[in-house]
Amino acid sequence: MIALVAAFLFSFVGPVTVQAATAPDLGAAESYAVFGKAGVTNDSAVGTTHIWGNVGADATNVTFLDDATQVDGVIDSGVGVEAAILSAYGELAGEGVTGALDLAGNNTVTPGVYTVGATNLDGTLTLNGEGVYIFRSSSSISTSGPAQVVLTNGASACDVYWQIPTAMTIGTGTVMVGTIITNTAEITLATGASLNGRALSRNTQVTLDSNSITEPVCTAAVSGGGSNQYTATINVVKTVINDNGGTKTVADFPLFINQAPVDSGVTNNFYFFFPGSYTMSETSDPGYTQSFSGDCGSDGQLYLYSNENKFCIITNNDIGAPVVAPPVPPLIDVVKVPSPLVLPDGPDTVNYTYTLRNVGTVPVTDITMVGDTCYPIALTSGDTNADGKLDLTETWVYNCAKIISETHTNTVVATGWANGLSATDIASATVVVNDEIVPPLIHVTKVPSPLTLLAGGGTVTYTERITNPGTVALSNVHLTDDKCSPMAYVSGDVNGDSLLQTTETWTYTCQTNLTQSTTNTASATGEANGVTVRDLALATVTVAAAVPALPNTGLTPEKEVSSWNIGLLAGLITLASVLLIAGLKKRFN
Amino acid sequence: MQLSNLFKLSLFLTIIVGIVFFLVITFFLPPNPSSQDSVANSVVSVNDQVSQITAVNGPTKDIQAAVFTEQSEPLIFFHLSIPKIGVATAVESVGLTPQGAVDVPRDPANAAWFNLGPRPGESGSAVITGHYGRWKNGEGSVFDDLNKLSQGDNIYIEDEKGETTTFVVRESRKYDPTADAPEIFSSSDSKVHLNLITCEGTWNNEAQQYSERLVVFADKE
Repeated sequence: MIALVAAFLFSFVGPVTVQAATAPDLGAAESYAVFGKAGVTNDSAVGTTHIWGNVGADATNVTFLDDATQVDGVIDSGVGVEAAILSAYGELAGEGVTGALDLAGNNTVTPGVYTVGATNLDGTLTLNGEGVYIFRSSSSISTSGPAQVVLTNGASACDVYWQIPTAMTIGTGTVMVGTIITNTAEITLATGASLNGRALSRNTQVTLDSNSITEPVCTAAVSGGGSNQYTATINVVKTVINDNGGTKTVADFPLFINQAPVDSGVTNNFYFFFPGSYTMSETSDPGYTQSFSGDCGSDGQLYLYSNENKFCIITNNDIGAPVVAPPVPPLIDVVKVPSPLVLPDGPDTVNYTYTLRNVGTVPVTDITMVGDTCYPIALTSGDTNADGKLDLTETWVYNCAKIISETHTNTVVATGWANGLSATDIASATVVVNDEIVPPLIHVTKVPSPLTLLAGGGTVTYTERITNPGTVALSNVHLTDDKCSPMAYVSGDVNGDSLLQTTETWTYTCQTNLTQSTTNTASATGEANGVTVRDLALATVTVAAAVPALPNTGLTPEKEVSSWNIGLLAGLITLASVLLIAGLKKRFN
Repeated sequence: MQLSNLFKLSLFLTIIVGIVFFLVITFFLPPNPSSQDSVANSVVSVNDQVSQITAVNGPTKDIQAAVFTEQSEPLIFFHLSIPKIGVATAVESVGLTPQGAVDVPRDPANAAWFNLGPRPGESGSAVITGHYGRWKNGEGSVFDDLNKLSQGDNIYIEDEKGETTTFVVRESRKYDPTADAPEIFSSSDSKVHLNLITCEGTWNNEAQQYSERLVVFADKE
């Protein structure tokens, strides 16, 4: 079913080709990384193969695969998998052809259906762009030498399929990508070959030897889409703390959702039919610690339900020589307001206004605004001294216009830098199309005090303010913080009606003790007209690791004497001069 | 005879120059309290916002923070009053020395607030340093009698708005000059503390410092 929806999606948003490729329905085979009807054999008795996913085969023919240490799933007989493979094989065979391709050498292709014959992949096959890639052979396929498949510009292992009537032989060290389906012959992975995809041998076996096979779990980053086809989103946001001499930036930490690469701040749309657990990860750096916040648990996982927009914050903090003076972190705040909020008569242009402020104590540089719906987000005013820095006194205003065709919640992620630390804020806004319902807006600002602590840490007070930048009052307003509780309401409900009016600012505080640099995330929610909205606010507090040395407050006891010594010396010089002059005078007389 | 007059004139001028030199040296030489203080105060100008900070036992790091003591006139933020030992003085604002130590007041008659920590009266442990020892013409330093404070004595801080915060001495402790003592600079009880630091013990001429540090811990009344 997922594949069917994918096919539906790509029929709309896939690349422009003569014949748009559509993904087959893998059915029961989808959750299997490896299936060999006649067996799955790991040739290396030392057992270094690792499979992330399920393994299906006649249980008596699975050899040298340990389901505790080598297979990150189950090993079973794969009920219904053979029939599913056959069905998918038939779907792949039935698709219209984009063109022929000789796999020898280096090639770059865009999404489509390619007939590859009985060729040998011995170079780099680059898959360039988002969409479905199908490689269809009339015979067997092999790889050799430095063969590899490279994904660029949104291409995903989820969308790559190899349809092979006979055998697939993946040579030593090859980096292979995609779901490989062979009909009558075996799939062989030679020593050290890796596969980001599936090895599905309908009728025979799969032979392994010290391999790494990763079953892809599909995400689809579809730009500018509406909400109907996509049931939930995840946005992974990277923050970096360089408070010990580190120099890495956001781009130095590639991000993944279920091992599929994603970009920081970019909303990823998911289509699925049951809630599920998703795992955020990154290419870590030994010089940095890693921590998760936002909707992610400490293990980087979150549970995604239908119609949710979730955010996972991954913070990397450099490991280095202890520093006495903690750098002052930047702190920014972004508000996004669409106009109009509702399009009762159908698709029309919506103007988004983004207001960015500096709520910290240091100017912020290298500002980026990443939106998931509207482009370009253009700075229209605010940098009054034109220095490219978001100064404490400045309010930067951005604008973007886009035709919105269906009810949609979109997001902007603002990022800036100061003193080696990044600051991030997130704003979301919903526009309703073909309905009279006016969606609410909510906004939260978080300011820690102090922003820095000396070694040993101390108490930090977070002051959080919720405002309503929309047009309708909010009910059921709640504020939580992932690393500070309880969040105590202080004031703001002026008329005491428990509704956050557009004119009100509700203030909360929370105290916590920090012993190390910490980025935490506040989440404010509210409801109006049956629509629940949410806003997040992130803030970093740096804590030094080295204690200041004690001051040398002592005065040199001899100091007063030394002044007299200088005076005495001057007197002696004068006396010597007098005597010398007197002697000379006597001599010349 | 002309030669004799020339020598007389030379003799006169030499005597005048000698007397002037003597007077200048003796009476107008600015008090230079300590060779250690000279080192501490010869730091990077705060106008150069991006400065080099040396981590303790570590490499240097670019950072934007006004943490060094500035070379211009000291900034006075507070006034400190300790009636029991006759202290009533201005409090300068200081940061770290290039060696990563808390800096000291430029004027031995002043005390100095360590501006990387909380301000006196804010939650946490504010730190104020002051000199110890005799200086120009035998005059004492601001914290010469800090060791006479005992539990229950009052310390008053008046900020630039004229608001006074009262602290009560809890205890005094002696530290080795090289001690790693986070408890002086941080606290986790969310309360307001003030810790005064000065020198004590015997003078070590080789190290150009006293043998101990005295810390008086006080809590907001």
